[in-house]
Amino acid sequence: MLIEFEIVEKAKNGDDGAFNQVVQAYRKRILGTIARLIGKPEDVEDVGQEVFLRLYYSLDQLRAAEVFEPWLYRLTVNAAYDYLRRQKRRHEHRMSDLSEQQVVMADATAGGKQKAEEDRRTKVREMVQSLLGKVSEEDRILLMMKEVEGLSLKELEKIYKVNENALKVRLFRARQRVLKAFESQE
Amino acid sequence: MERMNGGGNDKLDALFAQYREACPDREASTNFMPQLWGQIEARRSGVSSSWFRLWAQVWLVATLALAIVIGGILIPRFENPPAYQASYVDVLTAADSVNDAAVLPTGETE
Repeated sequence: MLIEFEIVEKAKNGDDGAFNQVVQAYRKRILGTIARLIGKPEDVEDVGQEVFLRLYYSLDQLRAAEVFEPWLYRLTVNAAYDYLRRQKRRHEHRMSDLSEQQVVMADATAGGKQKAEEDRRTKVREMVQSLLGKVSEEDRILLMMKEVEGLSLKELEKIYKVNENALKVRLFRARQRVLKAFESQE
Repeated sequence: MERMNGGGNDKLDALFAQYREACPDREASTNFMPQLWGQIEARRSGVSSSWFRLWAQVWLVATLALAIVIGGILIPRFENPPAYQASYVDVLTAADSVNDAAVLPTGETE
């Protein structure tokens, strides 16, 4: 936990100051997770605000402060999923946008070595986003939470409220699909 | 689950690790908190105004229903008391028959 249970309890009971503290403690981590899940830097803050807005209006339903983190991750996963679904519906999910934005970022970076490093990171981000495009939004998020965020199956079980075996099967299939796409790109 | 393709899996793990490193946790912009509170306030006032709207609608429907009950059922009942339901001619006829009965004693024939 990045914050004391007592503060979560206060926020749960409607203390706006305590809620502010909760947001300040978790926003960096949550924004990072969202950035890795959705792959669009320009929309990360919007999705992050949606997560904390949902948190504010659902915090009174939290059973106990001890389950706060899985609860927050669940809200994050749901908001990222909603975002990806909206993007898919609007046909806006174009990798070229991301590349363009990152090229601008890379150009702004001073120095050849830094630029080379930023180019390498851009390539990695594009490659992973392209591979994740081979699986559904649900599997993409699940795979990211496990492989990139480093959450254990037990933690995922709490977030998804699905039993461990079902998660294992789903993860295995999603990973196999991504692996197949990865090997065909190599 | 056992991973079948060892080499490919290792490379994919390495790629995910690089991705994690290429997308580090990030700080929020300075507008993040003000915008968040702006959204919270907007939704809060939206919720209270929608409650107000709902209450106003409930009261409007109740008022209309009451007006219909009063206008359609209660007012006509008070406006037509039974004493005035008969026509003027009926009232005269009824009065005459009472008068005739009073003039002619019982059992007397003409």
